Amino acid sequence: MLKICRNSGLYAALIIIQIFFIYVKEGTANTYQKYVEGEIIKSEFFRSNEWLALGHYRKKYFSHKYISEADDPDFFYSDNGVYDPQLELTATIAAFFKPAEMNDEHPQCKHPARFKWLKNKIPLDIAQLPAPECKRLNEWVENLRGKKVVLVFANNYLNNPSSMFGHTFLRFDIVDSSNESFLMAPSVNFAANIEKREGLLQYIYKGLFGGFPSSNPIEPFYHKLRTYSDYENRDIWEYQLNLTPDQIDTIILHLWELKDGTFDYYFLDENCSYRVMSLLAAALPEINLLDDYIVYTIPVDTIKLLEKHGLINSKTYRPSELNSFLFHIKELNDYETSLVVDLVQNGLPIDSPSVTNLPADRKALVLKLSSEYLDILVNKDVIDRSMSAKLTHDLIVERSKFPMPVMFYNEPTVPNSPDEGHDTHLLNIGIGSSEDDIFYSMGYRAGFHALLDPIQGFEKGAHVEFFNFELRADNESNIKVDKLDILNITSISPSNIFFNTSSFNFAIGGKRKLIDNQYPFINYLEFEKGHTYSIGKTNLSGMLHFSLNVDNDIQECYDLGIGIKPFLTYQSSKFSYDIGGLVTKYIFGNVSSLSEIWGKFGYSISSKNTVYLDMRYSSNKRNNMYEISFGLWHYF
Amino acid sequence: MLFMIKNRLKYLIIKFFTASILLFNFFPYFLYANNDKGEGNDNLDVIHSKSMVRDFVLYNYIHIAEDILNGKGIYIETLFHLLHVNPEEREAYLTFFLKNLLDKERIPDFSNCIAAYYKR
Repeated sequence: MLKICRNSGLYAALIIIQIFFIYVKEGTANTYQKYVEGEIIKSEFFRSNEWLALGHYRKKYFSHKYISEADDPDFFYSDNGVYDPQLELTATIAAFFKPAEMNDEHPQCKHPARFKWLKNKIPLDIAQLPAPECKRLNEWVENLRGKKVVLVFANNYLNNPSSMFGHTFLRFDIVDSSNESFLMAPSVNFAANIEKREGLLQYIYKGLFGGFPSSNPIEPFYHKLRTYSDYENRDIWEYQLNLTPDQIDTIILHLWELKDGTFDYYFLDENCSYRVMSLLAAALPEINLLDDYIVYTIPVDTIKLLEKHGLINSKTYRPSELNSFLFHIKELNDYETSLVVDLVQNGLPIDSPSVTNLPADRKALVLKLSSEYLDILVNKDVIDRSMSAKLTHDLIVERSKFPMPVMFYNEPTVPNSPDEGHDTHLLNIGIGSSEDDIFYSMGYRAGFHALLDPIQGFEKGAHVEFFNFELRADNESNIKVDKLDILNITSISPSNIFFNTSSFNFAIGGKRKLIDNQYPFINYLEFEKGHTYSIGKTNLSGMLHFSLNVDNDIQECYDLGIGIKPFLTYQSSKFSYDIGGLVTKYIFGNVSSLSEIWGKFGYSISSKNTVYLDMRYSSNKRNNMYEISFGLWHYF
Repeated sequence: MLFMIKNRLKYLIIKFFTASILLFNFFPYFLYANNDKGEGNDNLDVIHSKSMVRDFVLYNYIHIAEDILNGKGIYIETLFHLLHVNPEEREAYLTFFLKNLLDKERIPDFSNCIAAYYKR
């Protein structure tokens, strides 16, 4: 009994000693934590650009108070972290001292870029901090292990509103491994997570005002290449960024902190390019990468900004499958071209004499381009995939009979890169005459590119303008709004022997229009669809026109119009024009039809300036009017 | 020395055999004829790079086929890399791939499967 009591005493003493040591240890940890917090607060590190970039804090425009763009509450350790970078920093430091047993869930593992920043800011005694095992983070970092970061730009895609200004994402290249190609390089894409059941109105509303969570999946580059280059026919530009290994490390670590849904996605401002820039800003806090983007972010503007700061080392052009095909097909003569069409579209047998009689190298070329053509048609859903399989196989088998690989004589020429294009903001000043009255005009366009702007760096036939307004003043200083285009999208895509493509136009906004005897400012919505054919370098288009006009000056307050619009367009780096006419038949108005003809010309005098001449004539049964103006467009 | 040669030979046989199975099963011509997700061959699950190779071939079939016909190209190089093919083994692999590519007995239904995969 005595022995038991003696042992009990011993145990009690051991427990007390253990508690003492735990207390001392905890006390030391708390002391050190307080020391770190004190140092950070004393130095006001919460105001540093690095911390603000890691927390995605921006100052509000009017109150100048901070607010984080992160929408996920789990991104913060402080309840008020979204508004208070100081509180968030203190809470983050406290979180870093949590028990190491949390391992992958430990804040050091969840926010490694913040931890790295903290270690750089003050000389931390790592032995005094918990050391969790960040297994998942380490695996993830190992998978990205990029030594070069490439900003990839996919040209604008007018069939998808979220891609009409282009798209950017990041690729992490492995430079030391010679046998692993860029195709496998992990690529990070910031995109809206859109469910298929979203209606059009919901889609527009959420895209503009928030509601779509963003997702940032990491995929091998060949996924993106197949999607953008092959399926959507968009040229790809790759910009290798000039970053140090430490900066790349920060980008990778910060990317880990941004889970799917950390941010809401907005089409205009917080879009793919903005998110890429905010990620880069975490590694380049000394450069102001985000302040230019208040209302909207145009992808090509972000590339220009990176170039301005010397952050682009080199660029590479990768033509889309379609553009590559259209370039290579020029190697064929008319007869061979028709054979390609007949083989793929019209069921011409591969063993027919017209094919077999070709010289071996020409036959190989015809067969190869037929394979490419077939793949493009399949990707465009023009030909059913199951129907195309046998023909693809037959073409491959026939091609394999030629020992030589098919070599093209020329590779596609590299066009001007998007960053070489004109700036996307436009200021317009001009003078003109309308019905013998002189007027002066001034306007502004928020973006992006119109048919009459210099073509270099932009897709031919693509026209995307938003928020384009013009004021006019007459000699008596009466100022009136002449035009306010909210959005105007035009795609002019010539049909040819290979592709029967549609051209279209969609526009919404306000403009002056001849109604009865007046020329009032009306609200309008227009949609046009038709076809375009090339005549040399000029495009001839014919479109069916549908319009909805709404205004008090219209008899029923609204009117529906249907019309025909033929027009010619020509685009080059120096000179462009748009000459055409539109005859519209209205259903409800007093005047049942309106005829318009116009001629618009643009001549680029420098990379920043274009002079224009605009002539138009409108006529209805009661009145007619003409107008001529010229002026300067300044890009900035 | 003999032991080393034997081991090397064994390694090469296993590797070639593995790659053959992979290609035989992953080239969409034949595997995906009746199974658009390619879930059939459970016995191959043990092969480490199965999903990566499958994904790569499905996405890039037409480009790989082109490279096989040309005997070179970035897509076939990447496939070689995924299959851990040494430079001295390339010719043998190219011949093998070409043979599979041109086999008329196999149902050329891969395109449907690529579409299903892409749109999944």
